Order: sequence, then C-alpha cells, then structure tokens
Amino acid sequence: MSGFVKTTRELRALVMLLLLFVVMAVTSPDFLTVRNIQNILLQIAVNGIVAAGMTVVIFTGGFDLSVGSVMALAGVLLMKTVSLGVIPAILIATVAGVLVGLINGYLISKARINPFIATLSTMIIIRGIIMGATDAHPISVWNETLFFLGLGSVIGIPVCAFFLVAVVVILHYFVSNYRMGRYILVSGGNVQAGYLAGAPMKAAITAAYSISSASAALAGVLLAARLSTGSPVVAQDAPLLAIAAVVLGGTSLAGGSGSILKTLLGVLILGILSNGLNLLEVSSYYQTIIKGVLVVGVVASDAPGLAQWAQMLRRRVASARIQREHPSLD
Amino acid sequence: MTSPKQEIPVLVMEGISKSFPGVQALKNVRFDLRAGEVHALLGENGAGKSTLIKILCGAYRKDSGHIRLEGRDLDVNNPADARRYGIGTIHQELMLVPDLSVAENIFLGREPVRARGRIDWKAMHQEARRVLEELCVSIDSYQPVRTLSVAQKQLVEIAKALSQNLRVLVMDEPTSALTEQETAHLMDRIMLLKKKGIGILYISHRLEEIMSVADRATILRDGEYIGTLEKGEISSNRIIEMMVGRQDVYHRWSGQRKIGEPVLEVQHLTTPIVKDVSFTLHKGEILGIAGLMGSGRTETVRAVFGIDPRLSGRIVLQGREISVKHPQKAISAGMGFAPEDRKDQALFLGMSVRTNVNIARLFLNRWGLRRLTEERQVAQSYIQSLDIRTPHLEQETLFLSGGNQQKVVIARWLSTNPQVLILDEPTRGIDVSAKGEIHELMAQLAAKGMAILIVSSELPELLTVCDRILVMREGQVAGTLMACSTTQAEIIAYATGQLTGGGAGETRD
Amino acid sequence: MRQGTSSVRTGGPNQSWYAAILQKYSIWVVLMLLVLGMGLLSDVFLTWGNIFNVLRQASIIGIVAVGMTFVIIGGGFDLSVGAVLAFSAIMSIQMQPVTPGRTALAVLLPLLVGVTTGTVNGFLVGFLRVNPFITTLGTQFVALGITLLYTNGQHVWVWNPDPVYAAIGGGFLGPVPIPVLIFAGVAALGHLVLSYTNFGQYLMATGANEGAAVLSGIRTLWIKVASFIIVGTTAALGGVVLGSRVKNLDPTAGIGYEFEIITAVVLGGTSLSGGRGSVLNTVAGVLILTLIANAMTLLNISHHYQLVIRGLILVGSVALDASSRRRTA
Repeated sequence: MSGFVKTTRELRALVMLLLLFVVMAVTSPDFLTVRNIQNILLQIAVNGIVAAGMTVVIFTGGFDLSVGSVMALAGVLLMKTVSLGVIPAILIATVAGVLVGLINGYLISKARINPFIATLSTMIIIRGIIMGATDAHPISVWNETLFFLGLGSVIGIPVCAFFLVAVVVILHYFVSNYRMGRYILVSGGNVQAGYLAGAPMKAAITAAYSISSASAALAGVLLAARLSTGSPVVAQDAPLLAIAAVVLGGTSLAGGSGSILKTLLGVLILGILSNGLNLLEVSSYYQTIIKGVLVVGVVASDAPGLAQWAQMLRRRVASARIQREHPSLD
Repeated sequence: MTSPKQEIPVLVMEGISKSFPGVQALKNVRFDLRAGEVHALLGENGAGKSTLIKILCGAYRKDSGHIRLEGRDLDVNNPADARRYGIGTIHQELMLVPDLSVAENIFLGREPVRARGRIDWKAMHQEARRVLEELCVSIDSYQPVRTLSVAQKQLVEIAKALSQNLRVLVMDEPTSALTEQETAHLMDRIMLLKKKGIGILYISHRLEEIMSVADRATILRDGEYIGTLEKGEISSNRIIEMMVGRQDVYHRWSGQRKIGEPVLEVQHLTTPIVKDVSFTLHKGEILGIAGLMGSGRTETVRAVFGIDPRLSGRIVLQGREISVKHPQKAISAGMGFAPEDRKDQALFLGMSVRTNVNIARLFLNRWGLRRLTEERQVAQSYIQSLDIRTPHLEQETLFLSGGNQQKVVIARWLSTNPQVLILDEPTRGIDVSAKGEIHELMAQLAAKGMAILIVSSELPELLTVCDRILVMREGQVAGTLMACSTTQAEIIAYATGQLTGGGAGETRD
Repeated sequence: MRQGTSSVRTGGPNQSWYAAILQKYSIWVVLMLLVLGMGLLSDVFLTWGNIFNVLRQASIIGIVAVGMTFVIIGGGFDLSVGAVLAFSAIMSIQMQPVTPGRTALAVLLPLLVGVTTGTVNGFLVGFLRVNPFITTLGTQFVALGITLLYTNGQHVWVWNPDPVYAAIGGGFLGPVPIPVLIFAGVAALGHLVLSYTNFGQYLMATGANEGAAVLSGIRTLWIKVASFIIVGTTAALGGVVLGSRVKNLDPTAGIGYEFEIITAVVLGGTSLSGGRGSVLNTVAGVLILTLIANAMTLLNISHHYQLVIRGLILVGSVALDASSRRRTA
C-alpha cells in the first residue's frame, strides 16, 4: 500500500505538469511560442533557485521563511557594491546570505528554536535592516554584465535558466553523494539514529540552512540583475512560492526524503500556471489566492489527518464487506 | 564452548548506582560479560535493566561505580563514546533512517569516502553485501529501509553491529515484535556473533528464549543485584524465584470479594490488531489481561475505551450497548482508563496536581465557571486518601515520583466515580512499596464494587490481584484462567501457544 | 531520559506557591520597571493623556493578541491574522457605515468573516492535521488576494461615518478611549474563559499533551477548531476598530501585524510548544511592546529599525523559553 501511495505522489507532479501543459497549449495560441517559453524560463529561474535551496531545508524537517528577506538583502547589497566589480559584488551578496543561514542554523540546531519562528524572526530582522539602510528606496544601477545575467540569453536560452539548472544539479549531486548531504536527510529522517551513530547532526542542519540562504542570495542577485534594481521590498511571497514548489514536486514536509529534481517539476508547474494565468489575463489578485489555495491544498492532501481518515474508511468498508460475505462470524 | 579464554570477562560493571528524583533505580549493581557469550539480564519491569544498559551505552550517567572493558576503565559520557569503545546497542526502538538504503544505514556515520569526499558507493554496497552474506541474510543493500519488515530491520541493525568490530553488543528485547519463525532466524544470527567473539548482553521477557540462548543469566530486582546463574543452573523456576524474590511483596488479597452481576460485556471486538475478543467483567471483580508484547492486550483495552477505532463488535455496559467513538463517550458511560505510559499518555506534566486530578470532571457553577474551591477539596481529599506525596496542590506533576504520578492518574478516574476502571501496566517503573499500595488500593476498590480490568506484563502481579486472568495471543483470547488455581507456567503456556482453547475461568460466564 | 533530570528549573519541586505566582507574573514587574524608567526620563510620560494614548495604540494589537494566546496555548499558530485583520477593516469601511443599519453591517459582517476564516484554519489544522504554520501561511495569501480583489487594489474610505461607527475606533468614554475599553473587555473575557471555564482548561490540556487530553475525554479536535475561531474573531474585531479609527485604508495595510501580535504573545510567556500561557501576561507583553515602540519613536528610531528590535525580542523570548524547557526536559 505504501508503495502505491508513494508512486502516486511521485506521478502526481508529472501528471499535473503534463495536464497543465496540454491545457495551456490548447487554450492559448501564444503559449507554445519560443518567446513565451523563454519568458517562462526567465520567470521560473529565480523561484526555482530558491525552491531548490528550500528543498534542502525541508529535508531536515524544517522550513526557511527568511528566503524572501535574504533575496532582498542580496539584491540591495549587489547594487550597493557593484561598483567594486560584478564578481566581488555577487560574492559579497552570497556571503551575506550564507551568514544569515549560519545564524538560522545556530538558532535552530543549538538554541533549539522552532525553525518557523527562528526564520520568521530573521526574516523580520533582515527586512528591517535593509529597509532602514535604504530608507525603503530601491537602488537602481545600470550595469551591462548584470543586465546580461538577468535578461540576456545564450543560444536562445536565458542565462538565468543556466543558473537554475546548475544550482539544481549541484545541490542534487551534493545531497546524493556527499556525507554531509546524506546527513541532512538523516537529520530529517531519524535524528536520534544519526546522533547515536556519531554523525554530526547539528552541523548538517546548519549546512542545510546555509545552503538555503546561499541559494536565496543567488536568486536575489539574479532578480536584482533582471530589474537593474535592488529593492528592499521585493520577494515577500518567496517563501510561500518556494514551499509550494517543493510540496507540489512531491517532497514530504515531514523531512528525511524527497528530491531536488522533483522540486524542479513543482517549479515548472507553478511557472506554467502563473504564465498561463497571465496569458489568460487572470487578475494577479486571483493568482495570489490560487497560490495560497494550492499550497494548502497540496499540503492538506498529504496531511496525516486525511490519510488516517481515508484508512479508517477503507477498513470500515472492508470489514463491512467481510461481515456481509461471512455473516456467521458475528 | 568453555575454553579458558572465554572465562576472562571482557566487560565488567561494578558497584553501579543511579538514582532519579524519588527512586533509587540502581543500588551497587554488578554485571560482567565474557567474550563470545550471551549473558541475559533479567528482572521485572522497574528492576533496573533498562537503566543499567542506558548507562552502558552512554544515554545516562552513573552516579557511582566502574565500567571496565578488557581491564581498562571506561568513561562513557555519550553514545559516541560507547561506540568508540566498541559497545553497540540495538535498541528496542530501532535506530534506522527510513528513506536511506540498507547499506547507508549499516554504515551510517562511517561511510567510506573517495578522494574529495565523495561517498564511495561501490565500496559501501560491496562491504554491506559482504556483511549481509556473512549473516546469511538476503536483503538487497540498495533497498530503502522503509520497505523492510520489522524482522529484516532487526537484521540490518545486527549487520550494522557486525560491520564495526564490536566487543560488546547490547540487545534490548530484540524479539518483542518478531514471530516465532523470525525469532528462530534471529537466534541463528546471534550464534554467529558469538562465534566472532562478541559478548552479548541480552534482554528479553521470554523465558523460554533465555533458556535456549543464554550462557549465563543475571537477575536484578528493585535495582539490586540478586545473582548470576551459570548455563546449567538456568531454569524458569529459578529465574522466576529470583525475579520475584520476597514473596511478601505480593501477598494475595486474602478476603473474599463478592463478585456481582456483569457490568461490562465485550462481544466479538475486532480492530486491525485485535481479533474477535469477547469477555465479561463483573461488579467487584478484578480481571487481568496477560499476554506477550504485541499480543493485543493494550489494543483491546484501548478499543474498549474508544481510543482505537473498532471494526466490529459490541461493548455493553450495564446491559446497554454503548457507542464508544471517543473516550469521552466511554467516560460518560462510566469508564476510566489509566494508560500504559503515564507521562506520555496520561499526565499533563507541566500542570498542577489539582488540574491533573480534576481534568476529566471539572466542577462548574451555574454560570459555567470552574469552582476552584471544589477542585482543591477534591484534589486534597485524594491526596489524603491515596497518600499522594506532594508538597502542595499546585505542584507540577513533573516533580512527583512515578508512584505518586500513577496515584494522581488513578485519583483522576476515581473522581469520576466509574463503574469500570481500566489500568494498563499500573505499576510499571514504580518502586516496590508504591506497588504494594496500588495493589491494596485496587483490592479496596473492588471490594466496594468497582469492576477493574488490569493489563500487566508481570505475571506475579496478575496472580496476586486478579480474580480471573484472560490470556491473549496474537490478537485473540487464548484462554481464561482462574487466578487462584492457575500458575505462571500455565499462563505462559497459553501466551506462547503451547496450550490453547478454553481455560477454567470461562465457565464463569 | 525525562525522569533523570535534577530539578534545576526555576521553581523546582519544593518551591512555595506564592513564589510560583510571583514568577508566573514576573513580566508585570518588567512592565512596571519600564513604566517607571520612562516616567523618570520623560515629564509627559506619566500623564493620563499619554497613558491613554499608549493604551490606545496598544489596543488593536492587544485585542488580537488575546485571541492568539488561545491558539498558541492550544498548540497552534496563526500567521493569517494580519491579512484577516486588514480584510475586516476594509470590509468594514466598504460597508459605508453612514447609517446605524450600515454600521451594524460594518461590524457584524467582518466578524462573520473572522469566524469563517477561523473555522477554515481550524478545520485544516484540527481535522486534517495540516501543519498550522503552512496552513495559515497559505490562508494568509488567500485572504490577501481576496482583499486585493475586493478593493481592486484601491484605497477604500468612508466620508462622514455614522457617529456610532466613528466612536468604535475614535470615541471616548469619559477620559478613556473606546478601543481601550474594547481591549480591556476582550482581555477580561479572555482571562475569564481561559482560567475559569472548562473550555480554557481543556485548551491548556490539549496544548500540553494532546494524547492525554483525548484519554481524559476531551474533544481535542473541536477545542482546536474553537481556538482558531477565537483568534479569527478577535482579528476581525481588531479590523473593525482599525477601520473605524482610520476610515481610509490601503488593501495591503495588514502586512506585518501578525509579527507584532505573535511577538507580544511570546513575550508574555506563552509557550510556543503549547499548554502554557496567560491572557494577563499577554496584555503585559502587548504593553511592553507598545512602550518600547513609543520610546523608539521618541528616540527617532525609524520604523524599519523598530522591526529589527521586534524581531530580536521575538527570537530572544523564544530562545529563553526553549532553554528553560531544555533544563527541565
């Protein structure tokens, strides 16, 4: 039975993606154009990178709500330091992200604060700092290299998309093949077992949050590059979108299992959905509602309560059938 | 088997003491283990077995005493220390990571790596296969542990132990969740570990298993060392005698109880685990439920109380069928239930004694507000009548000793004035004197006409307090016995399937 | 493991009950010290006018924080309160309460919305057992989307509201602002319900140990649903007061309220692991936060850095709670 459930969960994302794709291709003539596909790739790259990092945190059974603030922080830092050169600026922004991740990791693994609260706090704190430092004004800088990173393309494929693929592949490879990556999964699967086996569980959790923050920082850099602007108010809904992509892809919020490649499916679903709603000229307000409903719906469909009720129902039906067929038992 | 080399103990524990608030868990206990032997550690629940092995594997710190491995003093402060010294533990609750492969679980924390830190999967799986083959186990090393049966998971734990050059392996109730056939397989593997010279500290409740596998047996009682039996001396009578010890702990209720009309009738109760269980409980009667772990004892009473869902069957209380879809229905129908695990399932540890006593039946005035004075009076009266030792009513139950905590739970149910009181392992982890008090209390309550259903793993306890004993095996009733005429051996025979059907107690109904 | 701890927790086994009470309400001592300190530093601080001003500032957050105390004690959490509060405020204004009849609508309809969102959250968390953080993170966005849709992203306002409506957020009874009275009323009612009704006791039990609560005959699922309905209702009530006070609102106004509310509750000592907390202490938490905000404004600290401080207070109080729990567990 569990095998069956597992495959349906794995197939769910693929089926959703295919359905969405077919529906969009049929209903909107603009959907299957090179231009629109490029557009979708551009749109999903930023969210996809955040979601890939978020997946690593969800492997530990936690969440990272601070990713949106880290994106804004990275964007602002990038624009403030781009005069030093593009690469140093990107490095500074990414290092700042890693620092936030280390703080999150410390609060969660050492101070044992609920990950939601810990990252909620860092989310507010960072947002406050960048708002204060910029006085809530966006910083716009024109830089050709950044513009190329944000909006340019190579052989017709947006540069951003290359970044997305690189991040997904690197993180997937890391989690699949390195001890620390495996320990991240262990910390979500059975932290006690890891501890008893002498595996460094606290370090693994801290690593996971650092990866998430670093990915968010990179996403923030790309976003700022695309807009040529580092804005302190962007990406408020980034954590929700990232969690949505992870869950849609089929990674369990319970931790200990899942895959970053699956998250890529979730990212594609969200991207095509959002693109489709735009093409169909659905108000962005509806889109906000739809995303909220989608997250809750998908999480609810995996919730223990639902599974338990379904199982109880099945057993009731089965036992009723047995009684009907063998009335002598009662 | 008795080469001179084996006579030198590889592990010696001496003078081990450990106390918790309110309980002296271990008093000057000793234990030694020779290379290549299986040394069983026996005792009733609360005798101190689990405390001793937790000290050995680094989960608890001892208050005093020495642990020596091959003559060297060990300082075991945490599980990683123990592992480094070559002391491994297979916990009753298996320590596996469900979504990782068998090989990864075997080598968790010790993964072979290639240059630049990449895990050497090939070497890992090769080595895992080698260990599994050595154990004559056919499990695919690539399989995720989630998909394995409990017995297979157990074998993965053994493979884990085998792969790391252990000197000492602690096995805590390894067979509690296994079928007989799986148990037999496990025994073969244990022989293999013995041949490799690993000393095995073996804990089990199943005496027949001990007799077949153990080379020696050490018995603990009430946190004290009672004695060690050599292979030739091990017999179930000796063991039981030493485990139970002073007969005066369990002095049988001498007075004749008046057993009245049926109060609770359970008919054809079936749940996913319990199969077609029927029994009748009478006014003023104490009915015990015995059985091995996993035999469905706890599941039966949980279903009667409406915690676990029923698939079919009827529950009749005082001639009226009641629908127990939630414990609340059972409570209002006149039942009370003190569950197996006080701290996890019964107590609100951070809340006061007063609240814990009153939670199942709050006193409200006509405006729907709580009458705190009444609550205090009720709590105070039970503190006196049950002799609950607490500094004051507002004390958090976290700080009470196990016996007093159990009395708080019982007080909660007495305050609802139930007709049927269900007690699941009421004296687990409680010291001897408090045990006696709880037994005395049960007898008094029954004498006043309360019907009591008690689940216990301690047969002497059941034989002491019960009128009848229902023995369960694999979710079914194996037999019903009169407590005054049966013996531990007979109960065990029913529980293990050597005897089946009927039993003297059934004629009652 | 658990039984093997020495009782190092403040208030160990032999602590007398009055010491326990003093410790339980120590947050009030902090509040008193803060008031005294500010009174010494500023001449105008300890005047009735200023005191009522601070209380009025605290009232909206305070009303919702009382509800949030219930949810958190029950082991839940609600991130959607800010969005619900904003939606209620906007709905209240959109009802154009210029007549008594419309005023009634402007009060009742938002409350109905509050009850509804609370029920939805409660159902998802209680019956389907969805993680409360995710649930309310999702419903937060749903509520925000609905608000934007409802207002078409535009400001809403009401001219010349009915005097009764205007009084809800801006009126006085003698020297006391009406919002302060509402806050006091909600807090008193909340304290009564939490400490002196069986519901309150059941809620604490559910949050402390859900399994044991079920075995004690408590309908924990309904208790949880009820706690979410309570917080939804208080969020809506806070929204009505806000709407009446400002009469002119942007649809994104509610963003950020939830942090202030959660911070106040946690600062008041309500444990995020459930089962422990007090409405009175939440009130103290709200007042302390408002006073700090007040002081920071006086010191010319920008709103943004006030956010930073609030975040630090939140994480600090949670860390304190976590470490005290670790010492006992």
